[in-house]
Amino acid sequence: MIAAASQALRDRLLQWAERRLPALTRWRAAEPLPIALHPRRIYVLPTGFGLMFGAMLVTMLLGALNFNNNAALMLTFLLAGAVVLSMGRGVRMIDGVRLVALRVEPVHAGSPATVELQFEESTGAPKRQLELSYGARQAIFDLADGAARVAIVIPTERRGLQPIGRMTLACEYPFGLFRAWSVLHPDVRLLVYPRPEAKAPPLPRGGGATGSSKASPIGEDWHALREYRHGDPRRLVAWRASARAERLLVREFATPRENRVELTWAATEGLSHEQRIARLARWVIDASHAGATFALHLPGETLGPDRGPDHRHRCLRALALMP
Amino acid sequence: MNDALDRIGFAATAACIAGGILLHAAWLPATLLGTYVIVIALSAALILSGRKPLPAPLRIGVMLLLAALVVRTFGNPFGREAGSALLLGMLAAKMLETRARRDARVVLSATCFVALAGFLFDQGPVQVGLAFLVVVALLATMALLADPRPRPAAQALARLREPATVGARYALLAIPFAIACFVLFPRLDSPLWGAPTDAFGARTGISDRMQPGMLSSLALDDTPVMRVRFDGEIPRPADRYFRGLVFWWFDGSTWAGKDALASFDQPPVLVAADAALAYEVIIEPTDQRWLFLLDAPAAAPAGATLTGDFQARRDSPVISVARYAASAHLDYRMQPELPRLQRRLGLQLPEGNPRTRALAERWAAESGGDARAIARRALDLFNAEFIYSLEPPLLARDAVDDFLFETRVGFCEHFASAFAFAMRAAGVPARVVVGYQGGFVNRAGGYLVLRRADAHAWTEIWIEGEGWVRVDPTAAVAPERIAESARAQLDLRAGAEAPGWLSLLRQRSDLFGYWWNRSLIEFSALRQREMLQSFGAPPDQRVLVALLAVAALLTLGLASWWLARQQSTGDPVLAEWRRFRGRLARAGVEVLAQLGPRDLEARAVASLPGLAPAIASITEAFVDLRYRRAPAGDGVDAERLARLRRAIRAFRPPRVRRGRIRRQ
Repeated sequence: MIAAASQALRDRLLQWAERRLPALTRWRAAEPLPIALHPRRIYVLPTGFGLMFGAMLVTMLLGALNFNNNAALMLTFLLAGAVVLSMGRGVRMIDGVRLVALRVEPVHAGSPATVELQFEESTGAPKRQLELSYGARQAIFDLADGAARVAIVIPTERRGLQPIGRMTLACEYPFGLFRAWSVLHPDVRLLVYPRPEAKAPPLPRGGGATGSSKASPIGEDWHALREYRHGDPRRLVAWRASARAERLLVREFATPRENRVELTWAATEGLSHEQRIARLARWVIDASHAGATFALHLPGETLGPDRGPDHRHRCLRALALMP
Repeated sequence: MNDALDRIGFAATAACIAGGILLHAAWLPATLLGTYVIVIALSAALILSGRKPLPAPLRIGVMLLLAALVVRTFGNPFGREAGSALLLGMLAAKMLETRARRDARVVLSATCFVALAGFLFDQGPVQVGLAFLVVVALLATMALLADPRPRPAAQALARLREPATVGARYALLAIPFAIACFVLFPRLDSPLWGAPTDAFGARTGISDRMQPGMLSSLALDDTPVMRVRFDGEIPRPADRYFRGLVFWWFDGSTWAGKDALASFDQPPVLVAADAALAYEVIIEPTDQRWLFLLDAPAAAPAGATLTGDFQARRDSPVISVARYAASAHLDYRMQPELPRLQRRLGLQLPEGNPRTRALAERWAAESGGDARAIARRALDLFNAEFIYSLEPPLLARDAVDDFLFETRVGFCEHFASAFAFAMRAAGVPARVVVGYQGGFVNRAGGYLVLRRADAHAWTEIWIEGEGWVRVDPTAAVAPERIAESARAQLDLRAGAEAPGWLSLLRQRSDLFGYWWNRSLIEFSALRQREMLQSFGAPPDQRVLVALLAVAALLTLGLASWWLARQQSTGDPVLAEWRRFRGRLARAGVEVLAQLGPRDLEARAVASLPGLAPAIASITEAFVDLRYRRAPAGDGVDAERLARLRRAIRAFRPPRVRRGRIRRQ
């Protein structure tokens, strides 16, 4: 409760700061890929350990000066020198890192999305001990050979286009006394499908449906050959005919009329708006799983009839983006 | 936050503490040393066997037990020894509950203090070298703990190399900065808070009371105490009496100076008959306030006062190597008028020793009260029948009687004590002086070294018209002790004279110690000002700060540049390729990460057609090295790599300014 309230307050403050202090928060705004990090957008502050160590060095300095103990003074200055030298090293580790690509598969609301980020570096020096954090989650990686692929997991809650949000690339190399960091805010949004209803009624049967044919999702009757389209199952490829024609051909079957499903917005009458979307999402998934040809009728838009993963994606996307 | 501490991190932290303890091993009592090592070993055994930490009450029990042990050993928890021992004990106890990275970092910070405390005991070259190694270990452990990458147990040891390199590199690179700060950081003229006076336990050496056996226990100790450089000729051995403490009070076995006497209301009066001999002393820490001055001191050195009996007392104890300049008169009359208080104290006698009293009274009667004649009688007695020995027999209750009439074997303190007693019994004011005598001339360095073995006790008697006159009864028994040194004499007796080269080596190593103390350990605010003046700069703090800023920037800048250069890339072939790609990028070729060597070659040739042959041959050489199997023979690859390196170094396409690439 308190945590939520303080989080809300922090978000409010941050928003205010970004409105009022554009110079300070410029590097936090969303920006298109690739994002190249350079020293002007890398911040450094001592860590808790750094502050403790610094306080200790000051105490040591006072003691050594007071007793005019020269060996102790030398020890203090030696440690201080190492500390100061380590200050800029984290910045050097982050400087020159670029976020060049970002890949994410759509997921249903409520399940975590895995975002894969492709980093590169352009300075030629290896980048080590980098720490990418998103919220409380972290991924640790090296850019030893100039490139690295890092996966982070982002929680999702609501359907629609969800901004990826800010993440932090930080480095405490070499001693953990200072933390250098830069904010990455890629202007990429992640598509979140609606959460499907858990216990939905079975698929509505369009045009007096009979028993479904889950056992043989592909129709019985061979109908025609057509060009391969992306997403066609491999077992549908007519290999012999393709070899003859020197291009990929796919067998097309006449779908029995019984296996055709009409999913309509109207069929979910009586439920709340979000529940209607959830039920339709469940039906789309079930129909697609059953290999059925289905059409989705939404207010102002009709998709299909069609089938296959592309169609499924289009339908779920339309549902996700419903107002 | 990843706050877990793996075993290898724990082991490294424990090793750092062990290093810290090693810095104190020279003085730490064996019981404490052993206990600490056992506690740390126990904590390591618990961690490495994967067991849970000890329950909290048990841990607190161990901590209290260690603290109690320290207090029992030293009597109190304060002071240099007890404080350091307590710090080490708490660190050892802390290891028992160290489970997280945060704990380990606290321990590491405290270990820095441990190393600092080690310098309160010893600032010698060996200690400094050891402390440097501990700093390397500390930095390496910090680097190990800061590395967030998971360390599989199997590779853990191999993974130690990188942090160890980091630690050593930063420690070495920080040296120039440390030296710059050392020389230029503004020093304090006087301490911010009082240096503890009684907090320091006495070191081995001369202490503020003289018991039989005090000086003979030092006779074999070659540790240097002070080094003296004279402005002119080094005086003859028989004149080299460095006066330290003057003892007035005798209780039958022990001589002591009384604190109240240090503030005699009579000023020291010296009638000099020759020119003052100036000299400079570098003294090792004694933890005591008194200084040692060549007899007879002309004046007190800066920061010290001369008491009425010519003891030099410093305002603060000598807790680290110190330097003082002084001057002396070899021909003098000291206190020609004897103050009343001094006469009374100089004749004070304890009960007992009837035979000595009777003898002294007979001497006084026979020589008609002439102090010189009485002294001669006593010295003749010593010369005729006494033996000078390092291992005198123990004395009975009437120590002076026993010594004079029974054992007749003694070291300098026995002779001084008996002589002063006899003089007082004969009515001549007498006192015992303790200090250093003789010493050893280091010809390589042109200075005089006084070692603990040179500690000596002699007497002064007051003679009407002459003042206090030095009488060294030991000289009557063993004149060679005064001509040489106790140590040299013992060596001679054992027939173990050092061969020439060994003596030369000793002189050289002592010269190093002298140089170390003079240039490093004794550097102070005063010397800092002298240094500035010798460069013609005004001795001003602002000048120092400005110089310090410049020097710090310079040293840090150089070190940073070196660090940036040293960032190793692992595979040398890839490193060269990266350099090539960098050159292409600077020449305006769009170098994308996903491009393979051949694709990059095509792109590069397209935008830099003039350099096509060079690009093609470099790419060919790289592909050859990276992807083709090496032909038989080991040396071939290195040769091909060298060729690739030369080709890439020679490849210098025209640069395109950065801004233009960004805008594209």
